[in-house]
Amino acid sequence: MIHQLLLSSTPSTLSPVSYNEFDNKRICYRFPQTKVIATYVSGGLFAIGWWAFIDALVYYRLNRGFLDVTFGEMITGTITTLGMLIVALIDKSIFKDELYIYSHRTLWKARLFLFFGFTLMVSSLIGSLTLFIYKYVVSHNYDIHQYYFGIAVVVQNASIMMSSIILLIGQYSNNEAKYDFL
Amino acid sequence: MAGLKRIISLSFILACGFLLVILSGALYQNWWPLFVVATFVLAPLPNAIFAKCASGDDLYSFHEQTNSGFKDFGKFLTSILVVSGIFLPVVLAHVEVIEFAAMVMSVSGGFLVYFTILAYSYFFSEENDEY
Repeated sequence: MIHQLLLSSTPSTLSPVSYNEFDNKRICYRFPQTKVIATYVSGGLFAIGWWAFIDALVYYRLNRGFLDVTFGEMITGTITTLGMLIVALIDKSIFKDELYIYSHRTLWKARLFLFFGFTLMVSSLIGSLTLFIYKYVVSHNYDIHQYYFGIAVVVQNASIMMSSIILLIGQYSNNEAKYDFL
Repeated sequence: MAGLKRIISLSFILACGFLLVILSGALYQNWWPLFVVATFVLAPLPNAIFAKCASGDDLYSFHEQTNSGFKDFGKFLTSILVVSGIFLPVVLAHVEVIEFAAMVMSVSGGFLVYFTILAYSYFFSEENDEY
């Protein structure tokens, strides 16, 4: 991985690039190998999310035995991961619209599945926030050790969602493209 | 002779990494940090497995490799394993199974081992491409 990063990180790619052939002139600092970096960052964020959850589980089991971990803590991270799988399994070349080899129906279906996956992720993030506020903040007095598990669940869902978004952005940006999608 | 110097220095760094990891276990008579070595040794494995799994014969691109789904999945798994190697001692230190110093030593030792593997594959994988 470092091998590929080092080969492409010549100073010419880091210089400001201006596109004169388009009406909207954009000057942006092109980072080399955006897709590779996005893939690594996405994997790291995914692992950070699940490790936060495992950390909270182990911490509560070993130090404070009074908490009963119910279905609610488990299901939000699982649904987020399911939504991430749905978003990651869509063929991203459908959205590029360069060649019209895909029919309108395929594009519609792919957009529907993208919407469905993102809805799963955002709704489970909102669900984890609701769990954190309703179960931990409201019912307990303000002690950081009391609602540590709620914070861990929120961090888990947010980082898995950020991981999926970064993976999706990284799919769109390749180095030879004339413009980026962001 | 340049390769010999590189090999000697890389083996020195590898020995330093293993020394740090073994010290983190042996100083406290607590051998949980040895799992870090397993994650950092396994970390380059998905990249190595999926390295040749990208094909460039797509419809509209002849130069770049577009069908690199398996390769990207290998990078994803590699990143997950590296972050797991950092966060496993952090979790163990948070629940006070291991000491904080043992956590620092095992993470830095694991990074030295991983850096050795990366540097070895960076220095000596270019020679095969010329044949």
